[in-house]
Amino acid sequence: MARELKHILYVEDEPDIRTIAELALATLGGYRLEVCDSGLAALARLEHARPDLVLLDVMMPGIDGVQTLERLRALPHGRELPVVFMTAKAQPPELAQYRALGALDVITKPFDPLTLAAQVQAIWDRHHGGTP
Amino acid sequence: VTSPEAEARLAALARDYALRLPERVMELQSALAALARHWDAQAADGLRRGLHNLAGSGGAYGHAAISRHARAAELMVAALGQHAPDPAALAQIHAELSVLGAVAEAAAAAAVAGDRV
Repeated sequence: MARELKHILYVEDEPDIRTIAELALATLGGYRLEVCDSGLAALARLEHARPDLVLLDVMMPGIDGVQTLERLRALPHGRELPVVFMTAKAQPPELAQYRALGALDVITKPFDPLTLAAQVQAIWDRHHGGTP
Repeated sequence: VTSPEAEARLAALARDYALRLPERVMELQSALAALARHWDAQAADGLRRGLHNLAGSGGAYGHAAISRHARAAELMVAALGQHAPDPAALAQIHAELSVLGAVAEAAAAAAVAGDRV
């Protein structure tokens, strides 16, 4: 039976992008959304939180998204946690790097707030046996 | 799933964003002017991040041209490297930020005009 996507942890340092993504994913998409403004905050949250999916910005101050994913994979429950990068840094070599790190997929920024939830759901369905 | 409430909230967010754009671009222009007077690699990285964030947010709020010009300027700043660039490179970024400023002013003016409709 396909696993349902309900709970998303979203990591983004830019307040304007966080605000519109919250509207897109929580209000329009209906997901339970937790938001962190840095990679370190997300790693601390993941000590306790058990989201179904992590949406991760790449270019952030402190530790960036790639470093965050590497550290996340070292957490006991982080090895299999699905992660999708959300980034404007999406040239072919960068995409290859993200996938080599085990990211499910990449959503390029800027995103369309009216279709973001459907985009996330489609990625989830592709990887978790839902309707494509 | 959309609703009148969500659409109204989206419109309000987009309006607020558009009204803040000119000031935000002016800050980036000031940062570039400071770099032209005194090169500082850390400040240049701050300018690049500011442009990156603008590029990432503009299109999400319906301003694709903001994203396009901010991204172009971001790539120019990223290409500067760690050392003081030649004035021509800075002039090119200045020109791109001028276009970005004009686009930001137009977006803000459209938001104000929308209030009057």
